[in-house]
Amino acid sequence: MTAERIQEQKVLLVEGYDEKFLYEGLIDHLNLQGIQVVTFDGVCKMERAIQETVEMPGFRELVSPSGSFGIIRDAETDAANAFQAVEGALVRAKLKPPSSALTWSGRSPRIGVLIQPPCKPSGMLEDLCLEAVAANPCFHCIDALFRCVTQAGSPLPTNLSKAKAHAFLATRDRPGLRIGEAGKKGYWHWNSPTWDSAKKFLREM
Amino acid sequence: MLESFRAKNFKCFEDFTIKPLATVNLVTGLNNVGKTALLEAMFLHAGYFNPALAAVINVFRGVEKFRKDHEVLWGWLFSNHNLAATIELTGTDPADVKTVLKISLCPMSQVIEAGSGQEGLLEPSPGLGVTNGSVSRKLLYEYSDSSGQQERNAIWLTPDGKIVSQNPPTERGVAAHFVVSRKRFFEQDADLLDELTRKKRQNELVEKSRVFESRLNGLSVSTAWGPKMIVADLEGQPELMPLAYAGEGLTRIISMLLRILPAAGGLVLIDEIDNGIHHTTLESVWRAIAETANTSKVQVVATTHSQECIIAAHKAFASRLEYDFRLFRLSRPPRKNTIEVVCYDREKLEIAINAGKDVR
Repeated sequence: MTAERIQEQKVLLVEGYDEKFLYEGLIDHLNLQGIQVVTFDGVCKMERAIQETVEMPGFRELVSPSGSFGIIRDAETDAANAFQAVEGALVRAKLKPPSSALTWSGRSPRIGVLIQPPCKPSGMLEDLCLEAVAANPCFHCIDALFRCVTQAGSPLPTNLSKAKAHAFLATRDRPGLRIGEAGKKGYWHWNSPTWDSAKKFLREM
Repeated sequence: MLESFRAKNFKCFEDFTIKPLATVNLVTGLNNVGKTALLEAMFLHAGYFNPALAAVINVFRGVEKFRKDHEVLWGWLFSNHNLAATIELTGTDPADVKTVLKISLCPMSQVIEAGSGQEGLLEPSPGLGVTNGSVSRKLLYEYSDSSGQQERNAIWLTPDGKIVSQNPPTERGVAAHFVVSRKRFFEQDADLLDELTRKKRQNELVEKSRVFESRLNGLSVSTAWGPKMIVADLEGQPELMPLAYAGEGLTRIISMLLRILPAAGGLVLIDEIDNGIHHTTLESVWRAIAETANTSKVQVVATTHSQECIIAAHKAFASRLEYDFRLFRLSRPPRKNTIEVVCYDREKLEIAINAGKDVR
């Protein structure tokens, strides 16, 4: 595999390969050009990944002068804490953090942060995906599946959102895809308002 | 041992500092960001007592003939070709002892100190004239360190194109070797093997080199083929074989080890270390360098363009008790005339490699 270096003026840092593939799918859907999605999937925490991205070959040459650096991460249990952690990491990387999520700061480069799901105190990528397909006619079948499993005496999975997302994917014409790969296939209904913030963020990059 | 090194007004470095240096260091980056220039700066600094090295580094770059003009010969030493500037090369050791070499051009009339003068190393290109102006300046070397030691010397071009130094250089300070990427110095290699043999250490070289050529039984110096050169005793071969005829990789590895083994407390600078070496051998090369540098207490600074070489170095050092290795990536920000550096310690390099990121 060729080692990755920064080759675009716009860089989007995300947490893992699921997010990378999913947002690459959304970028394709929006027909946006010149955005490179980078991840340090599981190798280090997001805060460290910010520093490492800034120091990747090509960042100073391509992004710093007039490009943009976007960061998307999960709110997890506390959206405010998630934003503060990114803010601190940006300061340590000598970059000017934006005043809040979904706003942009600076010019060389422009910096933006999106905490997902937007405007909610907590959550993760799978919550967004499920919200996007909630109107799908077969979605109630997924809920019914887990009710049935509980009634059969089996405990619910610890990460119910993830389990439901994978159950939904199991019903697609090509089952077994990962969350991110399903994004590339358009299984997460890009036309859902759930993705409006992400679309706005990516267009503004 | 250098803990940090600063180059001011030297070649592409207006003001550049590299730190913290380890025992073995690898410098990477795109073309034309100053990797070789950094080695040259360190070489001049280590050889502060010999101003002729300012001309020798041109030979390392393949420029062996020059016009009889101080500007042609030394002008490119100065950043932005600013001949009025003073080059300042500062090394700092782990005990914070600083050694500073200042290099500047001064009028021929400036009195340095008494000295007989000694003819230099390079011959001029024939047929090129010398104007009055071109020999009106000499290259002044001023050395000082934290202990108060100070030295001055100078070299200049004579009207007939010879390089003359104010005081003959007497070798002292730390041993410093430069392994260049373009040229092979067979005779110098033979001299080094002679010296190693005299100290009964040639077997160390043979043992380490056998990792790369399992048929190697011994190395010796011979003049049977004309010039003095190293010959190899290879199993299954009816005669000794001049090393010059062996593969580039083996010759280069032996050349490197010949310089690291005897340079106790010194500095070995290796340009494009992976040149001619197959990628599957790189980790063994680094293991040999790590071991030799550690036992001989030699600091190594090398350059590379190869990600495979960097990964091999990381693996070789990660398998040792002490990870005494650092990677530095040089880069030039767009539209700026400065060189920036990113230092990779073990953790940082591991993150980049494991995440599949380029570090060159």
